[in-house]
Formats: sequence, structure tokens, C-alpha cells
Amino acid sequence: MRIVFILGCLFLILACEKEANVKLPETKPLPVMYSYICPTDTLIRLKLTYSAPLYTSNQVDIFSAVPDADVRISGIQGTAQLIFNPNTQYYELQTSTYPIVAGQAYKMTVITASGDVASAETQVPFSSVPINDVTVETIQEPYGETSDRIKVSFTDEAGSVNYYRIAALYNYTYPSLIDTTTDDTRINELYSDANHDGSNTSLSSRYYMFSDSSATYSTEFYDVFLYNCSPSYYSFHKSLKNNSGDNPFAEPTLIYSNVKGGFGCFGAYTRSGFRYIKQ
Amino acid sequence: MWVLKQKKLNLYLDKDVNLSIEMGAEDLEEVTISAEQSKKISEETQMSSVDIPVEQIKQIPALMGEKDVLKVIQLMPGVQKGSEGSAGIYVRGGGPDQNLIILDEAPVYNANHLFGFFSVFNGDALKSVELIKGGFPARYGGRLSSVIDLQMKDGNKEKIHGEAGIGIISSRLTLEGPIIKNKCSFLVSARRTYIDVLIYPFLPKNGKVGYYFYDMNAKINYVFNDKDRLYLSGYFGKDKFYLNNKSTDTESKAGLDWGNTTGTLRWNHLYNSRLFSNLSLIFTRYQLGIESREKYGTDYFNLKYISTIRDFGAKYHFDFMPHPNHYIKFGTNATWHHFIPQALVVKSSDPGNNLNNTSRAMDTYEGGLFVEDDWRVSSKIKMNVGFRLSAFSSKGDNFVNPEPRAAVRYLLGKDFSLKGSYAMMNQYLHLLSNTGIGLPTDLWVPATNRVKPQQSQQVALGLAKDLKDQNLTITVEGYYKWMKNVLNYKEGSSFLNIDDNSSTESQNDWQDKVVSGKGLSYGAEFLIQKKVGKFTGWIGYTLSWTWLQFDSLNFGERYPARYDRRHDISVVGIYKINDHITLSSTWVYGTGNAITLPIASYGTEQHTASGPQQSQVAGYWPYSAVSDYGKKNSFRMAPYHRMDIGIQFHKKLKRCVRTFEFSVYNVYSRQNPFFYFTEYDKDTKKNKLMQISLFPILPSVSWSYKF
Repeated sequence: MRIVFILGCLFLILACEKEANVKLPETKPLPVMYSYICPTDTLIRLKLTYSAPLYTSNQVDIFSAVPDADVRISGIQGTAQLIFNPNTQYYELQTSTYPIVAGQAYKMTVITASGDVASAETQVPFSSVPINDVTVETIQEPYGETSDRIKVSFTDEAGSVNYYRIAALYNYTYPSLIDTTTDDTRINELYSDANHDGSNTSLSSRYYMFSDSSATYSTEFYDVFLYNCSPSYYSFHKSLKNNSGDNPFAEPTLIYSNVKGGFGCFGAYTRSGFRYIKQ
Repeated sequence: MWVLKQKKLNLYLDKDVNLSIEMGAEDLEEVTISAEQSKKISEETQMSSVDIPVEQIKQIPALMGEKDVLKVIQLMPGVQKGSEGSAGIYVRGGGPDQNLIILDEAPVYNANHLFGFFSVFNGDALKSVELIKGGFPARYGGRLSSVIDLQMKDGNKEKIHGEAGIGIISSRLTLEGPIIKNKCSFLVSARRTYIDVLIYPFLPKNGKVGYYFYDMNAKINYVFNDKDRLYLSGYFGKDKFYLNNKSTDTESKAGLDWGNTTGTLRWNHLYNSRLFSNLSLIFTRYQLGIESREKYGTDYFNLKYISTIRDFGAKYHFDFMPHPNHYIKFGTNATWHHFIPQALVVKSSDPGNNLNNTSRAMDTYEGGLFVEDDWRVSSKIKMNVGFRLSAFSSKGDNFVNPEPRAAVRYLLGKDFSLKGSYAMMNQYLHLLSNTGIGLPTDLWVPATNRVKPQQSQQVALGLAKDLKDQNLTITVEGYYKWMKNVLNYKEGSSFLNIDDNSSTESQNDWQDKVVSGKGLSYGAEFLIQKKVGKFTGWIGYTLSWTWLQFDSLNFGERYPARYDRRHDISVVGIYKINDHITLSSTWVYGTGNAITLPIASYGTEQHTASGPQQSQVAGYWPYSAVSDYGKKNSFRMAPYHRMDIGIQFHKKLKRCVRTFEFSVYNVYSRQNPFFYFTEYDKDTKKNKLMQISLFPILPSVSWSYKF
């Protein structure tokens, strides 16, 4: 009987791995662009890279900026070109020369040196939504750690479909130092007011500090932001947040893109802020 | 030599009549009485149903020789299997949770052993198996897509019989016989795997790992008199993985187990020749447990996870024949479901690690009232019209749904009929499944006000023909099925990330992890079947489409379900050469599953709170690599096909019949893909799409003894 068992195991081990004999989808490298515009920002910028098809021999560094493209923004004020800045690796344009106006629609067009064309459109929300209140609650976590639960309250803009995001920067200063250090809290809560139009809303998220939690700071505060976003901004960040990477048990996430002829996101937002001084 | 004796009888058929047949025992060597009768399919109102003779199931070659009812059901048109080797069943576009699998009237919540490679049903203990795919009679409810009704044998009332079997994976034993002759009988059937026992001597003393499953069926049948019978039946089965390690100062034990328990007490009462009833009390439970115990000197860490669903139910069904043209069934049923979807308890020598993360136990109540009439309208028209009122109550959320049912048969000619049916079904229990392959970790949860009951409507139209001389039945059917409130996990969600507490949402609430959507399935099925004779078997073909649509998946666009299968073919043949040798073979073909495959990768950039000044902000890298999948489920796996063959040698010994079987699974060793992954080839500097295949050619042997 043992022989039978060993034979059985042998056959199971033979369960094999081989190259799949199926027709694979044919793809080529496509432009990938990211740009988020806001009426109160000083700069319009765009990051341009290329995608890497998985099953062809094109070796593409997907994080490497593409410097030689023609990038233009067009809107009610006409068209303007964004120039590549080798220091920042972004295509940039000062809003002092091309202001972004709330409520207006814009189109970003990219033509690469190899002739690939990608474009996307977005509309800037009409107004920013003020933050009514921010509370921060320190929570005891396992292993002696703590986290801060940051809660942002606001009143949804009535009469329109709105998309929101909260974000916060954590600022602290060591007693012996003068400069303030800023950490991005990475809180990234997103909310759509579908079915809750005009209501008082609060979004909260936890920040696990990376700084030295045992230290006592001379100043410690949060700069909390509420973004009123375009649908494309919201959908892209929502899909990125849902992306579970390699978890084989999770539903694969399709990353949102509003770019025709490529991938990425061209989004717009308005922003309101609130400084919370931590006691 | 046969002896015929003539006897003249006067029978009064308006009351019960018992007939006895006297035969000259001295002249008979063997009498074989078959319980199966070839029904005329063209006569019946019921369509979209298949009954499979249990004896035929035992003759069909199977994976590692383990005869499996559910895998034979997968060979029927309209029924698709999941992945390689899996016992998961997908009927007319429905998921595996949409099958009402009932064993002696008790629902079985997880019909899988060994992650779905085998089902929990031991063919030796079964009397009958019926599959209904559409045109559901009103007496059935609670699931959208199918009813798989399994009945255990009652136990021989005359003398002790038994059957024993030894296979590569497991051994089994069945005994049945009278407790009080002609009055009370019993059946006990059990099987157990022995991989753990075989490998035990090869494992180190301080490290033991093993797996086993076992199941047991038992039934007692008591005949009080001609009018009253009592049946008590039960099933108990369990799968267990374990891993134990021990050294001088550390000790660890880990285990994963799951299993079903069912019990049915049924009283069958004949009021008169026109009315009888069945009163059943039903218990069923499915439980998954994960346990881990670690000890380092005086430090310890104990983890226990449990997920349970438990039902207590009652059914009271009546059959009433007021007139030869009417056969009325009516009744009621009620079930109390008790759920503990997730309970995680951690106890540690470090109190900071202690955790009691238990989702609240839920008690829900489900009920139904039904009436149906199988009505012979004329010599050509027969119909089954019915109505079911289903109800469900869960934590103050109450649902009441009417479910009309209708089936019509019109005789077009001799043994040739046209059939049509309509059925509305509601399902108040959801199965949260990440993989759809029947992992024991799949969770059953009730419908709530946020996650509404699933509902389906199905219409079917078909032709049925009996070729009596050839013992053949032929059916052709088309169906169209709408489903709403079907469930799926949200993108990126799984039961494994319950610990993600960076969000506002309560992550332990399963309702936050799922989305409801719509389903649509349509297609055509063809079946030609021969149940009687030296050569038996069937050919089935299905042409089908299955679509799903969720607002928050695939950007709201509909997409093909994973098990959307354009073509599905099954050919099954069993040939009894003589009393000693039976040959059998199956061949299956199915279009590849629709999956979501990465086809490109690219970088992303999140917008950060610091905006263009992000370089001044510490601790944040807003870039990440993601995959482009194209549209959801837009890639087709390679088609699945496989042939199995088997040969059985029967030998009559002094006190028993011995059957030796040699079978080969996947005889031409087709490497069917189980899953795909991407691998980088250093030589060609290209990514390759690789596949893992599970079972190559796999011979097996088994012996069975019937006495």
C-alpha cells in the first residue's frame, strides 16, 4: 500500500509548470500621464512615463520620465505648453501665466517623440468646501504603539454630485532644533456624496507615526486638507486604494484611467485647509 | 430453469393492496431487482431535471478512483465544473452558493472534502440523486440556480448486506440490514482517508504533519404499520490538517478543520389513499476552525478562529390526489439560522497581543408556504402550476417574496413533447467566496437591509423525446435567466485583510467588503441519454453565455463571469461486456474560463498633500507599479479537455461479489491550466505566461466487496 501511496505522490509532483500555449494580447508601450490641477496651486505639472507590455521584449523603465514630448493644456484661456524641467522630471507651467479657473474644463494633450498621442479632459470643481472641525484622538495600539485618528467634519455641497478626499501633513519640531519637520500622514480617505447630498459628513483615518514616538516635540500640529475633487481624481485614487497588489485571494483591481491613447489620470480639485495644534 | 405459477386474483384498487410474488427458490440462482425505472421523459411536466442512477455513478471512472456524485453531475449539460478536479458546481450561470444541496432534506452548506477535490457524498450510502436546473416546483426554494436532492438508502429490511472498498485515497464500509425483520432497518456507511497514517512513520518524531477526512452516514427506518413510517438519518464529516512541532523549549501546534453535520427525523403518514404527509425535523451545521498554539518557555500565543452556520428547521409537506387529473402538493417549512461569521480569539502571555475579535452572532429566520398542482388538463396538455411565498427575517430586516412557478407539457406526438417553464427564486443566504473553488474559508452570511436577497427569474423552453425501442431519451432546451443582487467582493477586498484598520469603514463588517450586482445567463442544452441496457451513458452539449454587472466593478460595464463557457461537451459511455467485465469512459471539453490577466505594467503617481512641494516632505513615496488588465475577465484560458477510462472486473466469490477496478484519469495527459502566472525569462529578456497543471495521467486501482 505504501508503494501505491508513493506512486500517487509521484504523479502529484508531476503536476507540471510550463509555458502557456495561448494567444496573448498584443500590446505596445503607451504613454502614462499624471496631472492634478487646482486654482490655488502655483504650478501646473505633468509626469510622463511609458507603460511596459508584459509579454514583449520592450524594456521600459516604467518610472523613468519621458523628456522629449510636446505637452499642452487647453481650456477657456486658449492653449499653453508645459516645458520639461530636468531637475524635477516634470513638465511644468506657472499658473501665473496660465491660471486654472474653478468650474472650467481643461484638456491635456501629449504627443511623444515617437508620435504616440494621449489626451485627457477634466473639469475643475466650482468651489472649495470648508472644513467645519478636525478632531484628533490618540489610540493605543498593540505592542505599545499609538496612532492618531484624524476626523474631518464638513458640510457637503448641496445640489451637485461631489467627490471628496482628506489628506494631512504632520509637522513637529524637536526642542533642540528650530526647523519644523513635515511628514505626509498618507491618510487618503475618499468619499462620494451619492445618496447623502447636502448632509453633514465626517471622514476619519488613522495615522501611524513614523517619527520617534518617544520624543517630546516643542511644537506638533497637523495641516489637514479637504479636497473637492473631479470624478477622474476620485476614481483614480479610489482604484489605487483598492489595489491589493499581489494578494491572490483578492479581486484584481482595474486601475481607473481617463487618458485616451494611454494610461493615467488628469484630475482637478479645489482645496480647503485646517491647522490642528496637538496639545 | 424458471418456473411460472399462475394465480388468479381479484384486486380492489380503491384501497391499498399488497402483492406477494412466490417463486421457486430451488430453481433460482440469483434474482436481481433493480430499483431504477426508466421514466418516460416526454410524459413528465418537469423539465430541466436529470436523475442519475447511483449504480451508473459507481461505474464512471473518477479521479483517484473516488466515485463522486457531484462530479458526475458536472458531466450533465447546463452544469459546469469550476477548476480542475473541483467538485464545485455552476448551474446555468449560477455560482456554487446558488445550489440547494439537500441530503435527506437537510441542506449541506459545504459539500467539499480536500478543498473541493472530492465531495462529501459517499455513493455507497445513496439511493437516488436528482438535479433540477430550472422549472423548479414550488416545494423547493431558497437558492437561485439548482436543487440537488440526494436521498440516503433506507436499509435492507430483509437481511444484512454490506459493501467494503479500498482505494488509493480512502477506504469505506457500508452495512445495512434489519433490526426487526420487515419492520425496522438500519444503514451505516463510513469512509476515511489514510494519507496521514501512511506517511506517519516517515515523519520525524518531533514534527508531525498530516491531513485526513472522514464521513459517516447513518439511517434507521421504522415501519409502525401500513400508514406510518419513521426515518432518522444523519451525516457527519470532517476534514483536518494538522502540524505539530516540538523541541526542547518550544512547542507549536496548528490545525485547520471543517465539517458538516446533518440530521433528519421524518415521519411519513398515510391518511388515506388520497392524502399522505411528511413531517421532518432538520438539523444542519457547518463549522470551520483554525487553531494555532505556540509555546516558548513560559511565553505562549494561542489563536482560535471559528466560523459557523447552524440551522434548526421543520417541514410539513402533504401530497393530495383529489382526482386522477390532479396531484396537489402543499406544505410549509421554517428554519432558524444561527451564524457566527467570524470569531477570532488570541490569548498570549503578552497581554498587549490579546484579542477578541468576534463578529456578532446572528439569528435569522426563514420560512415558506407552497402549493402546486400537477394537473392533466387534457390528453395532450399537462401542467404544474405552483406558488411559493417565501419570507426571511434578519435583525429587524424582513423580506417577503411571492414566487410564482409554472411548467407546461404539450404532447406533440407519440413520446414527443414540447415543454416550457417559468420560475422565480429568492435566496436569503449569501456565500462570500474569494476564489469560487470551494475553500472552507468561504463565509455564509444572511441577507440584510444593505445586502438584499438574491433573486432570479428563469424561463425555459424545450423538446423531449423518448425512443422506447432504443431506450433513449433526447432533450433540447433553451433557457434565459436574470439574476439580481448577486454578490461579489469589492476590488481589493478579501476575508484576509480584515486587519486593515487604516480606513474609516468598519473593516470587520463583511457588508463593507461586498458589492451587489446583476447577472444574466442564457443558452441551449442538448442531452441524449441511455439509462438501460448493455451500453449506457449520455452525450451532453451546452452553448451558453453568462454576464455579470456591478456598478463598482469593471467601471460599471458588464463582463463575462469567470465560468462563462461558450461550449461544454460531455460524453459518457458504460459498456457491460458480460457479467464479469464493465468498460467505461468519459470525455469532456469546455471553453476556457474567463479571467483577468495582467498584460502590461506602468507606474502611478498619487496626488500628495504637499502638492508640488512633495520633495520637501519626508516619509512618502507616492509612486507605485500597477498592472493593466484590459477589461475584466477579458482573457480566455486554454480550453479544458480530458478523457478518463476505466475497467471493472466483477467476480462472484462464495459469499460476496468482488469488483476490481483499474481506471486512468486524463488518459492522454492533457495539461489543462489550473492557473497562470508571469515569469521573467533571463535568456530572452521577456516575460512569459506560465501555467500550472494539476493532474497529468493518473492511474488508480480500487477493490470493492459486496455481500
